Amino acid sequence: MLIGRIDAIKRTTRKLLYTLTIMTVLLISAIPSMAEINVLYMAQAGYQPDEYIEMARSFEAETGIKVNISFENYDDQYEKIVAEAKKPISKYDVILLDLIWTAEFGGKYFVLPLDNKLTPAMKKDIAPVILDAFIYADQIWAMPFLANFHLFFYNMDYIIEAGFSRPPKTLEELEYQMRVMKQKGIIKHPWFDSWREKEVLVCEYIWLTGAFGGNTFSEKGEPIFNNGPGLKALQFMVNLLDEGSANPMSLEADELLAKDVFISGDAAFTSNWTFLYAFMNNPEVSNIVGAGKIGFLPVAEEFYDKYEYYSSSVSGFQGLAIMSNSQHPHEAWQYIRFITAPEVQRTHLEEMPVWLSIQNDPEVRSIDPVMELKVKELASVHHRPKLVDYYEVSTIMQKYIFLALKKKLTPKEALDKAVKEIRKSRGREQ
Amino acid sequence: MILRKLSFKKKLVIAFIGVVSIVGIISIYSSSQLIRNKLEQALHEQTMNIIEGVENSVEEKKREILELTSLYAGSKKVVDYTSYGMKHMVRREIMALRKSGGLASLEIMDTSGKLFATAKSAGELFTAAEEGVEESKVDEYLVQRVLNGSSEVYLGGRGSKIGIWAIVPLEKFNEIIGMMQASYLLDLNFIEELKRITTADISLFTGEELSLTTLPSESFSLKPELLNEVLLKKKKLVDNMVIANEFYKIGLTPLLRKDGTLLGMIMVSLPKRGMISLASQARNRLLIIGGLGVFLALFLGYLIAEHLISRPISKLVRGAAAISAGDLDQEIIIDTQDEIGVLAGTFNEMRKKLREAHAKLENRIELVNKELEESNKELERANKELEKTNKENLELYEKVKQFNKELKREIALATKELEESNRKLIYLNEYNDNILRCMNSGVMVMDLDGKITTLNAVGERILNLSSEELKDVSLHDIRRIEGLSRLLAKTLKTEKTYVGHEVTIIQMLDKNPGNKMIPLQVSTSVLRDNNHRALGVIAVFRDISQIKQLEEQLQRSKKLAALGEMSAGVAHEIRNPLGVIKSSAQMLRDEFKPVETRDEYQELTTFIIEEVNRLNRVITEFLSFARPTPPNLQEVNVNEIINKTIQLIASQEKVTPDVKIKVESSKNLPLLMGDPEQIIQALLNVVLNSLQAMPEGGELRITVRRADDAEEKYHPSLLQIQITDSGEGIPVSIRDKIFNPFFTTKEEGSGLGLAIVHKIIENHKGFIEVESEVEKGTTFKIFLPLAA
Repeated sequence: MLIGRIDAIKRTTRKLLYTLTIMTVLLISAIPSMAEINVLYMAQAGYQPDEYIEMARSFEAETGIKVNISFENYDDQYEKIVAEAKKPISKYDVILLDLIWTAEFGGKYFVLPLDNKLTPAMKKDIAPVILDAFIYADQIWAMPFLANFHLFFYNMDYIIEAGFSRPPKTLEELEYQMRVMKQKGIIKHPWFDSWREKEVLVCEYIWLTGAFGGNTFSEKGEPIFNNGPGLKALQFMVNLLDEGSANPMSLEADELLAKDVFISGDAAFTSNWTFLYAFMNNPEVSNIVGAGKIGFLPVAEEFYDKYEYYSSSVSGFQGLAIMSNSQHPHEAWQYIRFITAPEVQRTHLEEMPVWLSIQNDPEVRSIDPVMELKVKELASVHHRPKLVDYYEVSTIMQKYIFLALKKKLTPKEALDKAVKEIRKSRGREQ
Repeated sequence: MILRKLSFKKKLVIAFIGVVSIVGIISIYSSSQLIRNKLEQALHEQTMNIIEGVENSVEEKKREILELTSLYAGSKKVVDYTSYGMKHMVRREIMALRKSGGLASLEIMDTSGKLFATAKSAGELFTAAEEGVEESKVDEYLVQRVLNGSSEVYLGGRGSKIGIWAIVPLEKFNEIIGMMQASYLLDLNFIEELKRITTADISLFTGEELSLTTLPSESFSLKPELLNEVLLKKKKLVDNMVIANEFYKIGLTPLLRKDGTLLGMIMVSLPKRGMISLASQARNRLLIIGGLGVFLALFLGYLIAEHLISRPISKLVRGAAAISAGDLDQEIIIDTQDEIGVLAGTFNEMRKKLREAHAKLENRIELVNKELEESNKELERANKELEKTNKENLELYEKVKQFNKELKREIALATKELEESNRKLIYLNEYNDNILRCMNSGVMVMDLDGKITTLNAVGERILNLSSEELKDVSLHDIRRIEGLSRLLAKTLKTEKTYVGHEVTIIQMLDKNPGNKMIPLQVSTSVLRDNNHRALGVIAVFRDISQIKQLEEQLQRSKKLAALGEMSAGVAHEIRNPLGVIKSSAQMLRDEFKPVETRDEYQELTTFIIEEVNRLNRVITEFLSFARPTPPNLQEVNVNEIINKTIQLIASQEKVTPDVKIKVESSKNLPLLMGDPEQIIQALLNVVLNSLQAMPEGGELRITVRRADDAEEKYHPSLLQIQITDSGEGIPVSIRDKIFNPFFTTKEEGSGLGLAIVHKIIENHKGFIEVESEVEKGTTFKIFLPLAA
């Protein structure tokens, strides 16, 4: 009797469940499906968060795909990506990939290769020096998005006040002009730069090593910066501090503080990313509108003729990549394709477009009078080395270069120790 | 005459009203006067307290401004910018600080008092210059005090404005590098804040001129004698004043400069309307309370007359009337001991004598008792009927009890059946789990929702996924095993069985070199219940990376064998004509020497002979590869072989001092079955190849051990010789070609070195594996059979 009753209850419950299931399915199918992607972006030099959000909103309006953006600072971005790459499903679908991570993230399949997604026409239209930065083991691992590189920024008023008619072309001229400015009491420390113990310090060191005619690593990825150009570059930085030409506060400064100091008028010279140009000419934030100019970063006189445009710079390109464990790779590519499109970059000329067709467009050149200069400086960039262990290598370089700038070690001692530690980290030296 | 006619009670009440009214009127008048005086005194004291409160607030503000200035002067940015001469940045910084601190101005001066940077609020230029000193200089006395490490705060004024100034030293590493001066304006906000705190209107005077006030009217003037007291004698005082037709209690206090001279004064004003209103309220209340008091006194008088005098008399009158009417039960109760009380006692004595008559009433009481007995009998009958009903209920209860017993037995039976089913189910589950655990292949079961319900340990290891991780995740969401999930979905859709299907997945590894692609061989089938309903899909899979590797090796061996056979014939055919060319060139060189171009002739013929010799060497090498000598198998000590190889390497020119060679081996290794000469040849070729990959130096490590000591997957009857370099590595694109004959990346290589290695190892029934990572190095693993 009891079992009979239980069976009856079960039958009724089952009927109810079927009915509920059918109703739920009908209800769900009536709601239009709305995909959603998550993006991890770095808030630093380059496109600022507001601009990036604006691009994402345009994409949402066009496709109906919702974009959730998480902003991280540069130092945390790497850790976040590595942590997500090791999970079965990544929280993020699209990440901003700094060119220095290409070898590691591609080599470990953290991100998906994009070779099949870029058409031959697209590949042809992207500046080769930019596309090359995202190639590792013959595959493309990120879509170029931000063509950031260093430019030379100078205050023409101070140069004229010091009795010169043009900015310095060589590092020797630069040193001389700064000495005169100091002697005449025009400015206490003419050079201000972002030399804090972070990745940007390596960037500064790379272009200066280039300015002394060399590279920091051999083609086989071996460190060679403790002699020749690398040593001269660090010695040059230390000399600027010793003479008082470089502001000691540079050792605490990142690119944003260096930008603020230069546009306030408290520096005569600086090297910084392309984004400074827009700030420098904005009267709402700048004290040097009209006086602030951009030019080619100077090189040592000895190597002046070595480079086509007599300059040496450093690349800081960033691309957009799809996590290999993303749930929405198709939507992720749609998003990347949209915000890197030439049409979008044409409306954001405050940053250097990655497309040759935009860089060379006469209309763009008439809007941006320094586009030609930027194209030439872009051709003068040095990449940081493509190493699978770049993160460790860079950390070691930052540490020892900074110790030399703080006068804890001589430049030679610092760089020798850095090379030794890099070799040790690779298991080549005990 | 009229009074004589009134009752005794009314005479008493009239006398009482007269006395109470006269006392009440006198008390009300004197109390209202007293209250008025007290209120006046309290307002005076309140005004004095407010003046002190205002003075304290000014002092508090001075301390606050000094603390704020000291805090700002300690800002690292302000100190650093100042010390590095960054006047624009310091100005930007102090502008933000001035705004956040609500200051009128904030300035930085160097150690000589010269202005370095200034920040002022718009329209309120309130700087050192306006305080009566030079634009670029601060008072010399102040400069000296600040340079001695002192901080100063003081009141100052200009025109109609009065403010607070604070000046503090700027220090870096305990050295004074300049000064920071801040000013704060005593403005309308300030006096309104004072008003909020004190609830009094506040007026600020610069000298004797009114500059700011919270009063509704500014058109009032202070009495000259008051001004005289405050401005000249610098006293604070309290007085009354009419402002805009209203009475106020005012208080005045002087504001003094640092040197004690007068700067202005602050007046507090408390309207008196509150006090006046309070006094009249008090008077009205007194009137009401007095009236109520009189009324209450009258009421009480009435009650006393009624209860103590009038009511006992009335009782006596009523008692006498009742007795005379024959009512002997009524007793007259009067507690008093006065004359009325004695009279009442006499009446009661009289009543007692008459009580005997009450006996008659007892008969009536007996009659009532009988009626009560009848009622009790009726009640007993009703009880009997109730007992009968209870018996019937008990029988019904027994029946229900029996039914419950049966119900429990049925439940026990059903529970036992369920427990038996559960035991069988647990056994079945354990049995299934054991099968799954013992299988060498991965087994995965996916339900109709795409969720993984079963994944055995082998499966977890191959996919590098734990069942825990998969608990709430759909299989289709894990992109890196997309190939596998697609096949499962396809099986479910087509309801077909797939056997030996190959898919590729990304295997995630925690350690370097990170993830890798691995092939899986998968068989799938739809999982059904007894009614043939689909429950999900079952997949059995295994990692076939090694099989693939072996297939590649087999393919390579076949290719090499075919190529060797064909090329050997061709090589033989080339060698014969080469012999003829060489002997002809030798004859030409030795016997047909021209006279004029002798040197040139000699050089050219020697060149021909050398090149033929080189070709011959290549062909000999190739023939040794294509038609190798069968190995002369014997028991060999592997350590001796390694030592000989190292000696031969040391004699090579290609070994640079920058290469460190390390050997790791055990003395107790078993003997090897092989041809020592051929094995040395093979090891030499591999080592030379590694050395060429490290032109700038590095480390070469040779490790020898039993194969199963290195990795469990290898058979214990094999010996493993592992050669690892730290060279440039072999790109993936050419890794499967390196054992092909004539494949080389070097300009001068024959491309046969590694091909010969492969051939020798193969002829020894061994095999070779290679692992490499670009920019990190390469490892060759040679496996050779041990002697039986």
